[in-house]
Amino acid sequence: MTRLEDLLRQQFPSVPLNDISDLHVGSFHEWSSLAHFNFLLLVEESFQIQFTVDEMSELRSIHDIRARLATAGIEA
Amino acid sequence: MLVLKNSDTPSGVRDTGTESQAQRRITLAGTSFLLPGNSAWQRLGGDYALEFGEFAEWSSLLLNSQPNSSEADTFAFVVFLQDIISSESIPALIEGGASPEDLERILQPVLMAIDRFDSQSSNRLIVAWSNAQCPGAVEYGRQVPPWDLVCSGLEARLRERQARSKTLFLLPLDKFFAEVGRENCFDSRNYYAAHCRLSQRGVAVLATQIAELTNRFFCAPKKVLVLDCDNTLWGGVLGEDGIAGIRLGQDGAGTAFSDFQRVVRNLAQKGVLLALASKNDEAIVWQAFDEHPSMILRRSDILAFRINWRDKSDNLAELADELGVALNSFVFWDDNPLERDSVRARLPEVTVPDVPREVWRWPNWLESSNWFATFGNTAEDFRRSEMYRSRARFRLESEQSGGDSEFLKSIQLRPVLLPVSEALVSRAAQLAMKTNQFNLRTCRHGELAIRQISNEENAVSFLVGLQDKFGDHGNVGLVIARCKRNHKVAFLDTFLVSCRVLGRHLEAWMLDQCAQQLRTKQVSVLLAEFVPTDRNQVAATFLPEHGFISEAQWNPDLRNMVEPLLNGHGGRLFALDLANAAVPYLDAYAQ
Repeated sequence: MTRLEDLLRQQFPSVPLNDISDLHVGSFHEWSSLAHFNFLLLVEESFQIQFTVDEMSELRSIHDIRARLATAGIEA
Repeated sequence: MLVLKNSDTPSGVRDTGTESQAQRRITLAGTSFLLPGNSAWQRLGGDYALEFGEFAEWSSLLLNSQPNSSEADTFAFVVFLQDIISSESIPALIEGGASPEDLERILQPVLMAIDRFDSQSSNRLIVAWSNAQCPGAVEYGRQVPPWDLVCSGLEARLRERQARSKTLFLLPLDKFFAEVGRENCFDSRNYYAAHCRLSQRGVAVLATQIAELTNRFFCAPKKVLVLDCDNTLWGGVLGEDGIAGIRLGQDGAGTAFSDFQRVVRNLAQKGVLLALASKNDEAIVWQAFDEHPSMILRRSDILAFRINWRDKSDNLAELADELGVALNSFVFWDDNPLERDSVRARLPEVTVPDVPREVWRWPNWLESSNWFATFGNTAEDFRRSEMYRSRARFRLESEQSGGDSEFLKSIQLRPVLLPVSEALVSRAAQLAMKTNQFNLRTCRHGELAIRQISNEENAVSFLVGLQDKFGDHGNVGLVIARCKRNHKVAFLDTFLVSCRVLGRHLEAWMLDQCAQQLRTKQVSVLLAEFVPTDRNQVAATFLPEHGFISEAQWNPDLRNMVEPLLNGHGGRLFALDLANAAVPYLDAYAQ
């Protein structure tokens, strides 16, 4: 399990998750805008990184987040 | 209103499963958004059902609070001054010289909402506030910056209200933010993105501090601090370094050990019981206590000790038995991680903090811990050590005499019955919260419930104080029997005796007093329940031994009488025929 998968499970403990690569805001009922904001804060805390205000609205999917983390040299 | 169920919260949140905890609810409202569902709330969300108001709704939530919601519910109101006071009003505040009237006017919307809540609701209200502004040094150089004036003005007004209210609790957040650094707690990015002033870390600090307060609403503080000696009360190993060689009171780390002892002694003076568990030779430890010029703790501060080479878990279990205090009321402080791990593994109910490796952090660390903290000490707290000492003397003399009734007659027992007046409500609630052993139902009434019950027209409720030749034991018993108007059956809601006076048949005297009062109210049957816990076996036989008839032996007439009161009881039921009851074991109280 990747660290990002682990964080997604932490944020949505009641949702059964398999392959998360294609998931995004709205992929399941619990992944609301608010839950996504909280998920991004969890990602920030876990990877010791800070997103900008714009990134908080632009990073909408696991793919987006992985790509952003990669620019900081983080494989997630 | 956003309701956060456990299943919505991030992992790590545990389902506590107990009925009483499942019923507890915390409603949170903030002047800024509080990020419901954030993983930081897991510090609170495991033990309580959390409900979040929208950040713009705080006023209506406070103003429209429900008067009859459960006592277990708590409302937490989080105020950021910059949300409720426009920065435009601040220059006017400075120009006007910041008169009390100006401050009152500025703070009025918040204070009015708090006053309304306090007058309408019996729920506890936690008001947490923060001043997000942090001016530079120059602004402090010649004056108090205006936002600081507003902040201190708010606290002063809240403290005034707190003095009149039993249910208002205050949380000055900036003190706790400062511990982890203000910069880490605020996040302007979150404010512009989601109207939340706090960072993830800031939400965690807020959740942790609310949890500390709410946990104390329902969980009694720890009672006993068990200390190691070598490298804990002093630096070095007494057996190797000798009394002259240990580090204590000199410069550097020696001063830190002295300061740690000072904090420990302060705790003892507030009623925390001190014990030693040390692998050492007993004689040399006491020699250090008596002869080292920098010892702050005195031998007389130590209530019980096990200084030997045995396993510390065995020693802690013996100390618990000797003091009559459950192990879950113990905190074990030892510098050695192996000893800590061993106690943790064998006695999981003992609190074993991972104390910092650096001794110089210990004084502040212990002082700021919440293990022993209370919302206010009662007279009993300050006398607790003395009371446990007298308990030990009683046990010794009782064992020597064989514990017969002649012995009890000789110790001049003088019980006193005290109605639960306003002044005694906190002690009654303290007994209900803390008494585990002789407690028939372990019903954890808080102050609000005690106050409500003691005002019921048909209830019999009283505290019992006791003096004897071993001293004044203070108020050690609580009885609550409730019945409906014109009803012939009363229910024994609460019947408890502090463990420090057990062995004196005080419980028989209490039952007799209760029965006498119920007879004057024309009550003819007292229904009682024993709810077994893992701690109250000492009370298991009290009811049958004092004339109560167990449910299996009730005749049809008796069953018919008590039938309306039988619902909702899962324990063992008993009934006492008050007309014919003769309470035994009263010889020692007949003088």
